[in-house]
Amino acid sequence: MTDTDLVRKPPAARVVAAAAGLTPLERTGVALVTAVVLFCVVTPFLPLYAPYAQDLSRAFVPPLTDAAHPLGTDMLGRDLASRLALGGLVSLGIVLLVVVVNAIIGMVVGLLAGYHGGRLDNVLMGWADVQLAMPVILVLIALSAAVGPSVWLMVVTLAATYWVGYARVARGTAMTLRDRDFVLVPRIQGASATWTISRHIAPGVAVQMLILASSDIGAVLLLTSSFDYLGLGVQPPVPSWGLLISEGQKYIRQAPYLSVVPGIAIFLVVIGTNLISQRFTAERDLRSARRRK
Amino acid sequence: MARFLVTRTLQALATIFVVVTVAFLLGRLSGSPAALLLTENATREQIDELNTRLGFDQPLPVQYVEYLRGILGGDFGDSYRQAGVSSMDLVLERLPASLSLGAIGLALGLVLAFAATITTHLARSRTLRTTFLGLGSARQAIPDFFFGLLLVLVFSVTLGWLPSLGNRDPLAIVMPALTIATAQFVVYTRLLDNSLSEQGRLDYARTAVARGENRFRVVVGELLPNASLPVLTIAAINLGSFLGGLVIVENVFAWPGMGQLMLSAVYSRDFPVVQSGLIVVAALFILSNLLVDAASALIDPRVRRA
Amino acid sequence: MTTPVLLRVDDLSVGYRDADGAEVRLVDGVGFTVHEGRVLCLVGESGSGKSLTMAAVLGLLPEGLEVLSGTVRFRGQDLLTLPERELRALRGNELAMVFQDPMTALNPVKRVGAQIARAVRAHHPRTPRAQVLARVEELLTEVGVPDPAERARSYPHQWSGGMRQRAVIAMAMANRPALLIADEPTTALDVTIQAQIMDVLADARATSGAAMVLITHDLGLVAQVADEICIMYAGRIVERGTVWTVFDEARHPYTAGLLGSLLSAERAGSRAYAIPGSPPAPTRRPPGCAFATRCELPARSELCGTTRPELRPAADVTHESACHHADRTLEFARAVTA
Repeated sequence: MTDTDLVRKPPAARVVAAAAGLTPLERTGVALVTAVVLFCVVTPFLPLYAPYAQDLSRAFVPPLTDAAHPLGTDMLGRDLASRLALGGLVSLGIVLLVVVVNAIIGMVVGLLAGYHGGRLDNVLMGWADVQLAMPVILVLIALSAAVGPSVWLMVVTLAATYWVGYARVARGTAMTLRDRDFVLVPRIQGASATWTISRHIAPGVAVQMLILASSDIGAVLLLTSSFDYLGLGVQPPVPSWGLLISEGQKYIRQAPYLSVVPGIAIFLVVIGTNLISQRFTAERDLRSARRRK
Repeated sequence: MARFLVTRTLQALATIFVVVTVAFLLGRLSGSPAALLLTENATREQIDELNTRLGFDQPLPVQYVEYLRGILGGDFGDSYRQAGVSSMDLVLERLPASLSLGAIGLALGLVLAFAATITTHLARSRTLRTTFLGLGSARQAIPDFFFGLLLVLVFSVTLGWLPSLGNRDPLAIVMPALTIATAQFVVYTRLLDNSLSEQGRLDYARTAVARGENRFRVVVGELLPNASLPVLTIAAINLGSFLGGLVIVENVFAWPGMGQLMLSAVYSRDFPVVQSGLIVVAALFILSNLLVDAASALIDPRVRRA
Repeated sequence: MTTPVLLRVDDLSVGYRDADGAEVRLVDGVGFTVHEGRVLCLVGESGSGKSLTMAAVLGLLPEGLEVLSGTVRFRGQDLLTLPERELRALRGNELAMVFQDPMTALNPVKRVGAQIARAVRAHHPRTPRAQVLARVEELLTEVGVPDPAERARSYPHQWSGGMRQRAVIAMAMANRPALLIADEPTTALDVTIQAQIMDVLADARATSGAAMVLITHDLGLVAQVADEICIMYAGRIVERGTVWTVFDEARHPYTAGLLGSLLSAERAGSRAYAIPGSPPAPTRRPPGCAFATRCELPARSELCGTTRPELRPAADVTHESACHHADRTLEFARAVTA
């Protein structure tokens, strides 16, 4: 299936065609991600949902022993299932936010650089190279030391640094599309750059951004969870999967499930999204490997 | 060659200068540390006295010049928390621990990746390749900090074989190094596997077979030197994320390295320590890139002449 | 012919199985013999299967391709059933190969001398270092590399294409092979260098007495060196004989066409003959003669489209053709070469 096929077919037909073409591994991926997301979305509507309610008399209840707390309770007697669901919504929400913002920034920058070329292109892509060499975690450590760690600082830092990959792809496509007939004709007839880009180039690029974003979810979840774990992201008492693991680490001897359960949740989502996006990443690796030569 | 060295040195200095400047701006962004360092009921005079001592009463450009002059003279500023202790000394004290963990972890990862890939290619086994890549990908789907915890759970809590914290015990390096190595494993295995397959299709591989070399000599003696070149390049590109991973692993295992120091400095808002840490990391980054270039030149005669 | 047979290939087929398990034959039932000290040329367009045939002989088939049938007897021993270890002992020793592109045939990260030395060491692992070095120098001198001691220490990228091909030949001759397989050894080189390399090959054979299988599409080259010749088309041998009988009396319209395009091109003023069309893909070969769609033989018939012609004696037992109308080709051959 080529990119242009994806653009031209109506949405419903696209979904059907995509599902029919899935390999067993890809279907497994879809199933894993759907299961975890459903858990996070449905649990808050259940009667047991109480992520903050403490009950010290019922602390460290192991999983699968108490119907009121199917996944057990933590050191303060809070229900782990509730905290896992809320933590998931927080973690996945942040991932989604970061990925979407990155895709949008990257797309705009890439489109401008690719369409106009010249000096703008040099400046933007030069900056992209600089960013690529900077480990995000060190940037975040420096910023957190300056203004104090917070979840918003993490999101802004990631949003400001992680778009480079998107910009590169958007730029490449914009450059090739720019000279195709269906773009060239309105350009010659005097259409404005904004109109040409938004009407003719952006749709093709948007599909690629979507693919890229889907393959980035796993990586961004790993990254943000690590930051939460280190105390550079989500701050207690709000739970996130990374924070739950870090809280549980102190009780690894008496209650290992406190870390293991959220760890499994992260693993499932990452492996699920990786399985889904495997095909695209393999293609991208091949292409970048060829470029390097 | 001389020209190459000069441009490389200039690039390195420019990078360090940028890092130093950014660190300065960030430090001033956080404002005067007086609120952090003094008790709540400190008098106006006490605050002013502290600001004067730290130079915060001067205009920004003057502060910047003073700061640069200090750095040129080897003064990177004292720690806010440990009065009179140079922040750079604190960082350098932790450097050996970070370097040894990073080097051992990376080396172990590369050894595992090379061993796995060479075995796959000697045996020409698709099953082996799928197994190694599958295991590696599954490991990559586990965050480093959680993988570390799982190791602790198995080897310290359950089996009691390995110490879970610090670096006093010589065995303590096993789990942090394994965490790093297994995270790197799949990256290098995939690269080397692709690279070896690619080299195997080239004519010189056929020449080697045609002159009667055995499979081991062909793979290890002929293909491997060529196939390792892209692996080295990617290793250099990945260095940033590798250093990031090191920070995380140090914190999981309470390994007393720079990463742990910088993070605790973040919590205690001890900015000079973070600043010195960033400068050291930038220097390390530049140095490692130079090492990779040197290694490439050692392997590939074409790079040497260029 | 009284010289003993060195290599005898019978009914050799090479190919792969497609998704449905059906065989796709890139080389289809090829057979020929090479006598000691003689030169056999395999001639055909690219894709005719000539290189694959010889790759199969040496066990050097690229991944994904396999031998589907046949025997390859070298001094009576079937190479196809030989264990890898024993085959390896022959490769580079009794059987040596020179490849098409000298720019890629050498390992870029190793000194040229070291690579030639490996050819010696692979079969005589305990040779003293000094002796190997001396042998490398001797070999490089034999193939006409000036200043061999010095050049042996340099890397391939410091050598020109022609010089690299000399090094490849030196490597092939390292253990005085009985059979040298040369796969288009001059195609990738400048015209001015081509003759030099053929001279080097001739000299090397003269000193060692090696037989040679030369794979080429250059009939001019064939005329200079060949004793016998096999013309290959679409994976099969279509004509086989001594070089002059084939050149003088082409018994297959494809051979006639090849000769026509060569000879008339050399003659100024006349219109070069060109065989129309292109060979069929291995997956869609017609049931009859694979050349039928391109054949311009006046005598061609319906039989050509329905029945595949087998290789059988045309004029005498040493000159065979796979054409239903082998007896009616001479006139056509004369017409296109005129």
